Amino acid sequence: MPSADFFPLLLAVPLLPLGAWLLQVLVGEKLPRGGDWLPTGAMLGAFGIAIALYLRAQGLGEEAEYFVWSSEGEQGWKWFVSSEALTSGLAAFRAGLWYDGLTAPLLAMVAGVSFLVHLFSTGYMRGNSRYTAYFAGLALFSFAMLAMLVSDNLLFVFMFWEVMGLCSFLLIGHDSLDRDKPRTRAAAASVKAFLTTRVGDVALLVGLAILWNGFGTLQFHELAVAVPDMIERHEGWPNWLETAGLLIFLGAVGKSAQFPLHVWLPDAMEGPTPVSAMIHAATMVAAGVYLVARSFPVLAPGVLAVIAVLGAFTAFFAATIALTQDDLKKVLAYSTISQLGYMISAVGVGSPDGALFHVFTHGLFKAGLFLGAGAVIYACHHEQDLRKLGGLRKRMPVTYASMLLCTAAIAGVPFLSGFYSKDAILAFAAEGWEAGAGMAAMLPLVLLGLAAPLTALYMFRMFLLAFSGEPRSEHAREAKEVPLPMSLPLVLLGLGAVFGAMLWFAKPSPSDAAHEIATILASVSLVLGLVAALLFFQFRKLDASKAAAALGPWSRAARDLYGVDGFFHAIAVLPVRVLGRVASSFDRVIVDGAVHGLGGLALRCGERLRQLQSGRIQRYLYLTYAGLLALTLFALWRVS
Amino acid sequence: MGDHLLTLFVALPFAAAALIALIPRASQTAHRFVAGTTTAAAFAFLIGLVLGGFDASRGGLQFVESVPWIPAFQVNWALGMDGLALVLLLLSALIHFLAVVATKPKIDGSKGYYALLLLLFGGVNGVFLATDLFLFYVFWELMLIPMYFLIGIWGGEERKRAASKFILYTLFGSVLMLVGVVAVYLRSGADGVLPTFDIFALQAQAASWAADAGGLFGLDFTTWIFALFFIAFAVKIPVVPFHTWLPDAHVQAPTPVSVILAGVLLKLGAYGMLRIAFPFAPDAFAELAWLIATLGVINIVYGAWVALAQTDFKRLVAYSSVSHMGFFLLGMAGVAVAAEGAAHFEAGPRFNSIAGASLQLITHGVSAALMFLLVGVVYDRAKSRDLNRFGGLGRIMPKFFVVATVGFFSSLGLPLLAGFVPEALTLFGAWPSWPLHVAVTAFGLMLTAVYLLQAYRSVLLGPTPADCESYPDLNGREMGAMLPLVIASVALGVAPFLVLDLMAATLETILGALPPEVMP
Repeated sequence: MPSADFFPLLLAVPLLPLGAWLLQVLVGEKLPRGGDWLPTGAMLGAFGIAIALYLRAQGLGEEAEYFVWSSEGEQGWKWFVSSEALTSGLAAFRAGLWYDGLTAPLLAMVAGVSFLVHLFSTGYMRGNSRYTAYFAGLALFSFAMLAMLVSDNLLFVFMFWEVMGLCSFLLIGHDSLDRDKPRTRAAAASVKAFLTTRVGDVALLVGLAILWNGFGTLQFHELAVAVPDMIERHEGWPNWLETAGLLIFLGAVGKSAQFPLHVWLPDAMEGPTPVSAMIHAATMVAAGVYLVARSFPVLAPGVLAVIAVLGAFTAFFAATIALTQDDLKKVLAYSTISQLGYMISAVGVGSPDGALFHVFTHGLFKAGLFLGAGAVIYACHHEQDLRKLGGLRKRMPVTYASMLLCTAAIAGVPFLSGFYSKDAILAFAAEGWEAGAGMAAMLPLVLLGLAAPLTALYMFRMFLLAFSGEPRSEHAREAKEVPLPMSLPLVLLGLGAVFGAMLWFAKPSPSDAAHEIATILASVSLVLGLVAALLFFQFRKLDASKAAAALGPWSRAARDLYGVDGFFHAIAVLPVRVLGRVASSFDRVIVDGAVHGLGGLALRCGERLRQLQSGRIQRYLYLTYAGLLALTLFALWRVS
Repeated sequence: MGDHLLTLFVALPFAAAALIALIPRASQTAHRFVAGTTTAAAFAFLIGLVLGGFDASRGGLQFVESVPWIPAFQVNWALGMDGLALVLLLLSALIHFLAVVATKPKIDGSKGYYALLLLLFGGVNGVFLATDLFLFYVFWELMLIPMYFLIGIWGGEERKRAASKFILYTLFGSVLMLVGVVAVYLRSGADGVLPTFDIFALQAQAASWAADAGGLFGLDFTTWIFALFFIAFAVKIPVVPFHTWLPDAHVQAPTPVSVILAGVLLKLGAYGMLRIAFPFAPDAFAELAWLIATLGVINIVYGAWVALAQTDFKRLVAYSSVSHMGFFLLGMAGVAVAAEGAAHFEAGPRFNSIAGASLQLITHGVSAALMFLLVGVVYDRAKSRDLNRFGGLGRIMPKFFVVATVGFFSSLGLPLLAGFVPEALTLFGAWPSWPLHVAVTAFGLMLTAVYLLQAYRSVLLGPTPADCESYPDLNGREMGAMLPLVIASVALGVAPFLVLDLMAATLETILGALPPEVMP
């Protein structure tokens, strides 16, 4: 149902932060308060518009789906070549806008969370030496994510996806450029983040090349029609299409930090904490899930199986690491990886809607958790070691309440937002088990089921260590509640964590039997995890270190992150460096040497040539032309 | 005047060089002013043509003029402009203008310097506009001489060696080209008609040469023609293994000369391939496409890999040029082969390939020029190009940080900046015919990110050595030279059709001259 006045509104959502970014870069430094109100205000505007659009889309029912500015027919922005005569090739590529029942809540969530992160940052980043640059980065980040959400084709999704890569690079490395206290580790982390995700990005680009050449389009709605046709004609999934699907998934593996490319996300904690909230909740990592969910029609069954298993494995794998971390932010980072595993796996088991549902609810409570962590860090003078926190409940009641709600939501406490979305994913995994056969069908449910109690355990561990008991350091003892610009976002996100699920209108609907299994599984998991956490960390009936010792090598391995970083260093980083040296020497000694050898042979007078004097070069030219003449005569003779 | 528009355009820099020769040695400002005004006027003139006068919907030559020059050999002073030439001329004028801006106000021998710069500019314009093969060759040689002196006189410590190496390599290419020129000239007259140097007449004839029986050393005539011209232009691009003159020349050349070298001169090799090497031997081109594709991928991956180990900032950027120019070859290889299959297979990938290959010339011109200016900024302050020597400049030079970020990421191929579009077009276009090559190229893209970010990190991030703390931020001259490139990079990334529209019709014409080998 195209609607003319819808288009400018939809376009305004990404353009507002873009404009704010531009102004921030050009004149931000000269504005009062470093211009922080500019992107913050722009985001508020974008949020307002997104809400307005959401309300209108809601009236259209669950199936609301319309292309506001479609690339069908003669509409759309011809991107590479605007000439109407040219109709073939990528050059005739048209880009349009897209808005449907899935975009609506996501767009509003992203805009809203971004706005709250901006607002929170006005407090958290106060006094930073690159305050204006920071807000410029946030604005560009928000722009890229919002623009990606309204793009109607994979190429534009890829483009904004890459811009997000740049923004995360700049923001993770923000502290390395601090005028007073540069933080070298932040530089390393930012480079690592960009390069690790780049692995996936490059694969994705090749995947798009395959898709384009196979179908002549990258439009989501056109692909959804073209792929079934192709399968019918081929009587099955052609190999190239499977490859393309796998490459697209690889893109998501990088961006959404799935095993084994998850290594950048924990390091990305070097960025300022609100940036982590941005990356983990509203942008970046959500982009990967969004990509595979939107590309669902082009993913072959074999690829989906891989996605389901890898996602579920990541969910479990990261949960075990999260359990062993002592750094507040690291726990949250691994919890994000684990939750992303749920989402990715959801696509694999055939529920892209369920995946995006979880992106939505997770965006709300994870933003709350990270901003809460930011508040704790802010109040405790940049102390983020859980062993040195504690007792913050009385000192920071608002943060405490918000964090409690968000923790409960992620752990899957019934009737909170996370419960519904996770329940849906588990239900689809159960359905997959019923429908399929063998290990591949069973593994997702098993791994996701194992990760569920762990989620409750590690989240409540973190929560209890930080907020209950007695303060274990001076910083924690002196903590005070954060000011309003920081606590307001916490309150709002806490409410979002509770009621968020109601705002999603395309509820996934698994079968009743699967739904029952999932509900039972989720409830048992929650009880197990919560009880364990209370026994270990609240009532201290059990000793956590003894439990860890009992698990022996496993807990040590998890603590050391299973050595994935070292593995990459050995198989990728070192060989590339060494080969670079080799290539460089080869170039100097062999290639250049050969040329010098040949040249020296032909021209013994090389020594004299080095002295640039007019006479010498002339002689040289004569020599050359003499040779030239000989060759020409030779050619003449041959041709005639 | 209207009939001799292009002659006037070509003559303008030469006249300006003569004018500089008349200005006293001491008036440096006047030399600079003349050079700056001339290049700016040329750019303005071309923009004027884009806005009105040039018809982008036509694929053929426009503003054609031709007068006999050496009638005995059918040599004509023949000029003409099509979309490809126009776009490259625009790039050249912009880069030459910015090179003048980037030159320090006080340099030794400014008179000679600016005069040579203008001669170079004139020679380049001539190469892009000549439609007579002999004239093309004359301009080609003409432009080498000023470059030689610019490196040899105003260069760094080892300038003489680098300049000699540059001229040696280039003359090697020129010799081959001259042989080729004479050979096609004679061949064109072999069928009992008057021989010709007209490039487009030769292109039209070229198809019939393939039927020639026999040849030299077992290779037929068209293969020879192809080999001669291909190697001649390959030196200029440069194609591995003919590339080692480039890093040396860049390292020794003064910053503005490096900017011209990377921004414009490398493109001449590619232009020669598009105009001459490929259309003169379309069959050999289609047959040897595998070689072109492979050389392209070697350029991309090998260049990136060597760049990875460089500690000299300028050498690193020079190797990145080698790497990026590989996309031109890969794209052209995609033109040579068409896959049989669905309807959109026929024209789409070939157009994507050639569009990517040609656009790469422009975008690389912009981002490489910007990168060399960045190197110059750092060198002027640190008096060193050693990447391990400085660091953390992003902290103390915020303006530089912004410009450098655009430069690095434009070179890296980040979407919405210049580098991405041609890379994507090339990969999309080359995929159906060269899937394996594209896969290896993807790996090269990864390496590109590695070496660029490594350099980015050691220049801009990390701790700042004590002596770097006092570096001043960009001054007006540096900003003036770089800001237009930043804007161009963003414009090309956001709206690639600005340039592609001008070229599209011409590229389709070129495609017509290059019938593909059809793969089952």
